[in-house]
Amino acid sequence: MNIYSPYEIDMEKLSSVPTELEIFTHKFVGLPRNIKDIMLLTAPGFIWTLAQNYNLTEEQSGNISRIIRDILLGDLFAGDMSQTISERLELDQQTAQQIRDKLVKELFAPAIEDIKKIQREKFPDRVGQGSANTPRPAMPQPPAPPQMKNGPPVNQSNIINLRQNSNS
Amino acid sequence: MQLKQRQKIIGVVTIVAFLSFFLPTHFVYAFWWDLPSINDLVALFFQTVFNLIGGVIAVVSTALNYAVSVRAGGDIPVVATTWKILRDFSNMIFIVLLIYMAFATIFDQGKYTFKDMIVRFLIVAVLINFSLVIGIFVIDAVQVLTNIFLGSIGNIGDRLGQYLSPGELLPSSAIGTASLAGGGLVSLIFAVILSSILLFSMLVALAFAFIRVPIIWMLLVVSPLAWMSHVLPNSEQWWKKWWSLFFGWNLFLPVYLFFIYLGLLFLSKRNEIINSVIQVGTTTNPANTPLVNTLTNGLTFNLLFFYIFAAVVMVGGTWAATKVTSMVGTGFDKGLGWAKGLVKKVPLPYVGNLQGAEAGVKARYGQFQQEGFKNPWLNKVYGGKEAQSRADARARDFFRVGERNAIEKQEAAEIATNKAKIRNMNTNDLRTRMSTGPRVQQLAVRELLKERNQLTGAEIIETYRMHGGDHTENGRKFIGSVDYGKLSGTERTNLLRESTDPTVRQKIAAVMAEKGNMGTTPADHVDWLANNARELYAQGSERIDFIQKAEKEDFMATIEAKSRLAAAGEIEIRDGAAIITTVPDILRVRVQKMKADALAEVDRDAWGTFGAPPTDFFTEVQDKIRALQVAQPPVAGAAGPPPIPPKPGGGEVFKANILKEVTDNRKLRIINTITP
Repeated sequence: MNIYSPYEIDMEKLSSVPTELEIFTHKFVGLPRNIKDIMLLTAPGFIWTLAQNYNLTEEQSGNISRIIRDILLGDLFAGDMSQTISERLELDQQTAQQIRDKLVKELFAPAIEDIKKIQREKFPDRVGQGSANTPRPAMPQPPAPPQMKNGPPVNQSNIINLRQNSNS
Repeated sequence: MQLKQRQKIIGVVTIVAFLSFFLPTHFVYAFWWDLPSINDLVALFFQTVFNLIGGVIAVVSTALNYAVSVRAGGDIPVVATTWKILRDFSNMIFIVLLIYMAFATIFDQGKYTFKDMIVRFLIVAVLINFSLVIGIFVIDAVQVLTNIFLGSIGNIGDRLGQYLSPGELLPSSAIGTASLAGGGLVSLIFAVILSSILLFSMLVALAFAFIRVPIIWMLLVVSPLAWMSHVLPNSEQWWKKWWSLFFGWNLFLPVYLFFIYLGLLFLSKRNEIINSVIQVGTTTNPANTPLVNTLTNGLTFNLLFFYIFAAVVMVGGTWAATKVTSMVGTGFDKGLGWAKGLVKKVPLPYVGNLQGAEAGVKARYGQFQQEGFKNPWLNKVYGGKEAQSRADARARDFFRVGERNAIEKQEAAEIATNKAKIRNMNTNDLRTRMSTGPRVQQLAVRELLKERNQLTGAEIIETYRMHGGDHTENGRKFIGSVDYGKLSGTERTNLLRESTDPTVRQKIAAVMAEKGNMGTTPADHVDWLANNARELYAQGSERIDFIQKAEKEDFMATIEAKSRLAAAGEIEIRDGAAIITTVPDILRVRVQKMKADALAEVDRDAWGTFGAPPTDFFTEVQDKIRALQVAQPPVAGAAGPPPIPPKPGGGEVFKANILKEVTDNRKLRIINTITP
């Protein structure tokens, strides 16, 4: 089982319960191809990197895989993503917000319109409310400077100062 | 010759005897024992002639008076009886005309067709029975005009006698015989000439006045034929001529009387006219001076002028009457045309006006000429120019003249023309016309519906058959452009059986393979694929491509069909350099070559059932995935910094790609069980 794969995270468990497997496979085959692509191919590497960046445990990594799976399948309201991350991963609100932003802007970006559509279909009432009360998952906010609780060390030699180059 | 001589003599004697009736009853100076001089004899001769002419003028004036009073119309038994005969005859001709019109319409003979003739035909059919009444009505109407002039003039002879006294022309009796040697003889000759002119002019008028009656009667008698001639375009000139003559001869009399009236009016005022022109007293009027000085009689310029004037009026009036009436006849034609135009412009409900309706009828008739009857059965009787073109094309095909398949090309052109006409019609309207009207029109409608994807499978097959199936190029073209996926399995099966065109059959069979219309059991599928691949394609590669079209429906049947053909040497499948023919080998090689998306589409039966023993196909796919995983093993992630994510193995990626393409959750569950 690959804990970083939203598709595989609970597959063994699902496979032992035919009805739940039936429900899952039914939902999965109905997804657009780009969402399937995220779930099967893009997400595992992304979640692994995220876990590395935020020092997430395997359990936290498994939970973030489940959250991503649930959002992609339309089982979880995207407006609740930040709070759900905070609750399930037991992270502070700010970090949960950062992870949410990262997911929306980077992982979901190729399929953002299809994800919005699924969310609107599954949560027609909440999408309207969420737009007023909570940040809209489909509308990425301007990139905020990384303020990680335990930010990864950055090799300054890898950064090119474009201003200096342009001035020089 | 002798007979002619005798006839001449008898004729002259008869005329002389007849003229002797008009000789004067008394002679002067003529005694046989008292021999007269030459001058006397000459004077006697001219006087005799003068008296003779005077007598004839008296008779002619009486006859003229009678002639102008004769009414040409009214109830004339001879005319009515003869008219009835000709009317009945004309009614009989109507039947012939109807038959002629029918044939002319069928064979499209110019102006004799239904469109050109029917209106006039109906009008004439009705009015021909009233032709006598109409003729008499015209005569009576003209008679009213005639009566006005007759009432004003009275007796023409009396009037002429009143204003032109012939006695004034003779030398005065007081002159005596002595004067005859001089101006008296000249005066006498003038009197003869003038009275001759007067007689001639009166004779002309009398001739016309008399002859008009039988002519009008004759015109009345032949009026049914004249009306009948109005039906046929080429004989219409007779109708016009009849009206021209009829109006002309009817109007002759009032016009002539008008001129006579004018002339008599002039004569009655001759003194006033001369005085007002000369503007001198009557006694000193040079016009009243004798023309010959030695004469003392009244042969003055005045008298001479008015005699000549009277003659001119008599002859000129006749001439003018004939001219004017012929103009009236022509004018009648023009007036009739103008009246027609006016009537046509009168507003009418629904059709605007008669002119519009006529244009509409002409347009509709043009369409009828082009397309013939709408009813398919009647269209066989008359199909218009299109049918004629088809018949021509058919004949060319039969006799092998000109280009090949002329009939089909003709029909294709007609279909294209009809399609262009109805291209803007909505689909519902098109559907209502799909099965009505001539076959070519139905085909045009159906082709348009097909272009709009509005034909059912059954209708497509029906249309294909209407085109003539594979026997015609149009049929082949039609069926070749059909989306066979819209047909039902049965329709496709029937069409494959019915069609003989190889290309069409290949297309249909390909769709049948893709849709799984290959029979009931897997064994049927194998047979169907092998047989059709063999039958429809010559090349081995084409046969393989055809068989593989059924992979989504029955993958294993395709493998077995290939195996059967490979074993028979009808196709060649290689595994590297080796030729393979068995099912396992062919299955393995095929799965190895298939991409993830193609494998994902393979039918559920090939993948097997969740929880059941794996199928051969499943095992081959699993082997392939595992082989890929071995060939491209996964790469573990590096913590970094920066972290480098793990890279999945080739088998994992291939499986993920299959999962991504699968649309059947039962297949998904089976594929999930593959472990790279």
